[in-house]
Amino acid sequence: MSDGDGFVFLGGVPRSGLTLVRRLVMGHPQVHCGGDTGLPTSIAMQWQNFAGSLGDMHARDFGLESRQVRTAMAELLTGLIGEPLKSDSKTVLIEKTSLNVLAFQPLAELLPKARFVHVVRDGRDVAASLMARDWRGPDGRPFAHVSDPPAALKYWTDIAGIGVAAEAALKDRCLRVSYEDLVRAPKLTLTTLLRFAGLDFDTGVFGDVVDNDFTALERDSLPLLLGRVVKTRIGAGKALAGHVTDPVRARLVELGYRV
Amino acid sequence: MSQTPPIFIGGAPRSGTTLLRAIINASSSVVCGPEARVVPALAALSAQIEQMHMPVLQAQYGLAPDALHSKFATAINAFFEPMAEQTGRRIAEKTPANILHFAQLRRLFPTSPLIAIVRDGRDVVASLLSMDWTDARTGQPMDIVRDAGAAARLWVASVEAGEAMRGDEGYFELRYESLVRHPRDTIGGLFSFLGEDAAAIEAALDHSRGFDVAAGANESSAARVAQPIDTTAVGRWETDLTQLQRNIVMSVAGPTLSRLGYV
Repeated sequence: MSDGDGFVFLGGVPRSGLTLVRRLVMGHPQVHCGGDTGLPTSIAMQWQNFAGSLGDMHARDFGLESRQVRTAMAELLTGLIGEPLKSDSKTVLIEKTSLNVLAFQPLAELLPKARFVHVVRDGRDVAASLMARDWRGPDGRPFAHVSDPPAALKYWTDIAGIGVAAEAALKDRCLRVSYEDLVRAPKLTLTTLLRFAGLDFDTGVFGDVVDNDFTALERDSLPLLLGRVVKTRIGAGKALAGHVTDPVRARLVELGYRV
Repeated sequence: MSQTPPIFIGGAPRSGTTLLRAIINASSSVVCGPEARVVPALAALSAQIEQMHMPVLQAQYGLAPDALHSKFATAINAFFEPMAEQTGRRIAEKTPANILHFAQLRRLFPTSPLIAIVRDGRDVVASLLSMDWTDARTGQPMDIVRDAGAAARLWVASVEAGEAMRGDEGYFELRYESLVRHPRDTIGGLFSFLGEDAAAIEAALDHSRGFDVAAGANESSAARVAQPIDTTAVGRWETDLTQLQRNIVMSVAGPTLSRLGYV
């Protein structure tokens, strides 16, 4: 598994619909898609640190080649999350920690056969959803990106920009999926996503899910996840139009949203 | 892959960990290279994952805590595999910060020897303040080489991490001062714990003969460790620390120094 074959990493700005993607693809009989583990980014960045700052020393003093370091860290990541692929029925594991998007490129180097899905959503709607969160830092104060509209929009602009750069760098190993396409045309969008993962569409994706399938921050969206896919959240951020700056507008246009 | 679990060595920086690695490396059955600097990072990452993500990993990815430990142990072993294969010797890994992760390393390596070296905290601080270490991220001098209080706090944290392991039968603690004043007896006790024979003790007493200074280029004490053991660095604080620095060290580390019998 050290080449990442069978692994798909979702990523995108938090509140872009990644848990909705999970809610749907987890019903596919050949897919395992669990909750956020936070592991891919941590392990990919640790690998970069070892390979970069310590690489020469490891080669000189320990006879350790860069490919051996990559293999060790790749096997660590795939070993920690890959247990479900040992089941006969599961052939694709989808990991959906939103901030994977920050490490798509190092992850692609760490796991040369892994694939990546950049989930995007209108930044105004993302910002509106972020503003409804009560996410606080270690000091007990709300994060700026959930308490200040311009900061929320900048957060979206910056992270979505990292995702767009990863799409360009990874080419056919990275697919963009928009939340709006997913809720307007779920079957078509999921067919594209599943085909990208090497699978056929299966009606199981529209099967029922239960409360216990979702954990931690995913539960913020529980009412939406347990019901049918709805389009009602599109345009939820209209009221933030007055905070749209030139960089936000440029990113919206880049991603195909009307401004 | 090396089948024998590795030996881990740790201690506050400037406590004699490089001397200890040279001594252990002198044995024909153990190889202890310079600081690989991967063990603390991976031990910390494993602990962080265990604390923050274990419920999801267990419930949704079928990963039991023991399996997480085993996979991290495999990853750490992989870094030392070429050296183990090349030398045919048991791996010992010395990075001072290992000591801060001994409790987690015990989970990853249930039977590995964990060796701590303790030195008078005043000498440790005096030595740290003479270093020119910089933070790789900022390029600025590290707090522990310019601030006696920060250096003393690191020493206390390192000592306490070792003390927390004293009930573990695979844990061995020695004093730097004993090592340099009574090397034969101290090395004898350590090597008995490790299952090393009399020939290994003789080789360790002559460790400087085989110590490769070039291989320890990133270790501040490599040149000094290449010399025979002496006691000149014991009590250096009396000449090297100002009265203000002594006061700061005592305010931070006084109770620990007293508990260990240094004051």
